[in-house]
Amino acid sequence: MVYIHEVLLAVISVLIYPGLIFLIVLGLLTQWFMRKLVGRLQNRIGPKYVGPLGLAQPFADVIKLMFVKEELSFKGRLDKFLAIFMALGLGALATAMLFTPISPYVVKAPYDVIVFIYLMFWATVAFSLIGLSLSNPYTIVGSSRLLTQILFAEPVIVISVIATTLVLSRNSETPLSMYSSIVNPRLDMLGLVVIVLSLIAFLLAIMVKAMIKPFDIPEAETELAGGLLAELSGPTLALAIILHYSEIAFLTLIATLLFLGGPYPLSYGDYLGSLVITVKYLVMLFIITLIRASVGRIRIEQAASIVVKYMLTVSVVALIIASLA
Amino acid sequence: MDVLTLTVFTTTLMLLVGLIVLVSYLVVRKEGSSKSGSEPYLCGESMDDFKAYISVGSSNLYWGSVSAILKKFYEVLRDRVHTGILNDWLVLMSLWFFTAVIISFIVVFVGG
Repeated sequence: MVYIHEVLLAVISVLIYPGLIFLIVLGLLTQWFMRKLVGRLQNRIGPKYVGPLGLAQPFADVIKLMFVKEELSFKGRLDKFLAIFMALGLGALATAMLFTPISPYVVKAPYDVIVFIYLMFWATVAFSLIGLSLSNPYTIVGSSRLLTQILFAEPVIVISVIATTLVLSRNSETPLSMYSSIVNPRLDMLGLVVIVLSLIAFLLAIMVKAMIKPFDIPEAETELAGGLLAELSGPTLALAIILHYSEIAFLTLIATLLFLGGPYPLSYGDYLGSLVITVKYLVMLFIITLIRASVGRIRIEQAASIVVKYMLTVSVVALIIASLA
Repeated sequence: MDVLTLTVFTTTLMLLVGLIVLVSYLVVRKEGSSKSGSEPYLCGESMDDFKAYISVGSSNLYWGSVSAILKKFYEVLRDRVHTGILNDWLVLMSLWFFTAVIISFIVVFVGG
């Protein structure tokens, strides 16, 4: 029996906090942090003019693209098709936030990690479909590169999430559940090894999935003129930027909650807990940005080789240990 | 809640959010969209029969990159396995069959 106030709470959660609005704001703040940090690491200033420390710059960029810049449309382009998929990608990310305990309305079930993975996959699929719905060689090549990248990175994400939930929700009433893995983790020494290995694999796989340097091969500014995003302008580009950074923010937040224990050593009810989560989130983002600022782009087969050698192997080892533990 | 209900429930929520994002996108876009520059061009030249130009060879799409990455694996598949000779095919299929039998034996008698 589903009550009306429960449905209402679910809709509010998925639309406002920690759903759509929260993810968009977090994503744009994440963009500011990454841009500022990369700027400072490369001896540049980074965003500066809009808001204190340029904090409102990403918001200004998106608002300008939405309301001021015109959108150029041309023959052979499937405008609505790509907008539908990007909207669904955002919807999937917002819904997947309901699996975390920071949401007022939480969904949980035994083996719900499968549903979580299915929702997590949508945003990347949406991105790969952008290229295929624009009639341009650059975007199509970008899309094919992203599809290849997903083929290698997605198993890493799936395996590391399953290995971690397998360990953390052991002996729980709801096995392989995201919520019980995050809130009531059962951790021993062997479990810790699994989590460390999974975290390493997951963190690097985020970079492949979200096309962050050195894995920005589908975008490849200097080679493919922006690849996937080459033909986008105006509101469509704004939507793509929002989706891209929401995905980065979402994946980093999930890594913080699942692998780093969220507010640990405090608990979720604690007032200072959110501060601990924020610090851990920024540390994860710092590591990703440091790698991004330090290396150049690699070729697609080099990326695939790195993923298979270092991430897939590590995550498979984590899964084997998790199943033995 | 069981997994099936959860899948239906979350997919409904996903569609709801997607619909809201899509509608707001369409409302915003209506004011800002333009048809200027609607002719596609490549290297500064307009393309009349643009569909002849825009398509990237199928070898570049997905399988192209995959076969480039898994080149050795691909060569083995093409040159040794998929030779077109019926005997080779029979050997391959028998191998798959026996592998499947062995795996099912292990699953049933050792694991189960």
